[in-house]
Amino acid sequence: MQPFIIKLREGNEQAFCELVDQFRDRVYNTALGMLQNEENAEDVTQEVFIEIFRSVVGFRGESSLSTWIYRITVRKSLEYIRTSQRKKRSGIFFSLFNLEQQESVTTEAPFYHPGILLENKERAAILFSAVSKLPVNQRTAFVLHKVEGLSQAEIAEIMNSSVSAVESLIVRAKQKLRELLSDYYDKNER
Amino acid sequence: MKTKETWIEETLNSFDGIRRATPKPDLFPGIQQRLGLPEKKTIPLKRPFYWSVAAGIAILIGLNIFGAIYYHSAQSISSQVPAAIAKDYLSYLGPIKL
Repeated sequence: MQPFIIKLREGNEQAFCELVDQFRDRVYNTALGMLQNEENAEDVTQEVFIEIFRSVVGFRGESSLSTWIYRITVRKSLEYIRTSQRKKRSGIFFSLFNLEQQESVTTEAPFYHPGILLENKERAAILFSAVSKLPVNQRTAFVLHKVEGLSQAEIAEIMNSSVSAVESLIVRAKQKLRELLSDYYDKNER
Repeated sequence: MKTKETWIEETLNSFDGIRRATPKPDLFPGIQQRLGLPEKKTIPLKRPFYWSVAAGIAILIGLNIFGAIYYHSAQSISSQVPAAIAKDYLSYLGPIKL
């Protein structure tokens, strides 16, 4: 096992600091792509590194360190999404019986990723909105590929899947996104 | 005027050239602060039925010990009472006159 990982397992704070430096942008950017909210992405990023610190002693080195870290990031992001969706559902349920507050379900504010090229900002916000409607696996594969820039082989390792399965996920994600964008265009761009 | 298909393709490609976002600089201090807090762990009880039986037995034993201690201390007090009463009675009667 690499000396760096051995130091991490010993709880060496300097090694942990280096790890955070090395992976903070990757973890944050992945969480941001999944959650589309900077504050939530920061929370998840902290959660990821806290889990790394606490569970690195169990890291056996069967996968690379980066694969392991991306897996934790994806898992934490999906947990966050599931919790938010549960809260939204119960909120809608209670609002149905509240006659005074007849607010409709609020539409999500557009999300502007800070790393998007200026000329693409508006279109990217529309695309992010469509991405948020994808099934979980397609969303994960698409975000890791298009937002984080990982190869299909790297994504396959993270998702514990095959390269062909990841390719299929990305193809299906794009098909679904075309449908969603087509609906959007018909409603807003004509 | 762009066609719908062109618009869709351009939108699908709008992530091209994206750069990684970076978190705020206070990320690491925030992590350190949270790691400094003691982790609240709830240790799940395995087989709670056996634990409750063991607790019940412990309580019974404790009550028995308490009862035994109380009984013995009560006995030592009660054996002293008749002698004390007799002493008081005799002192009340005064000396025996022949």
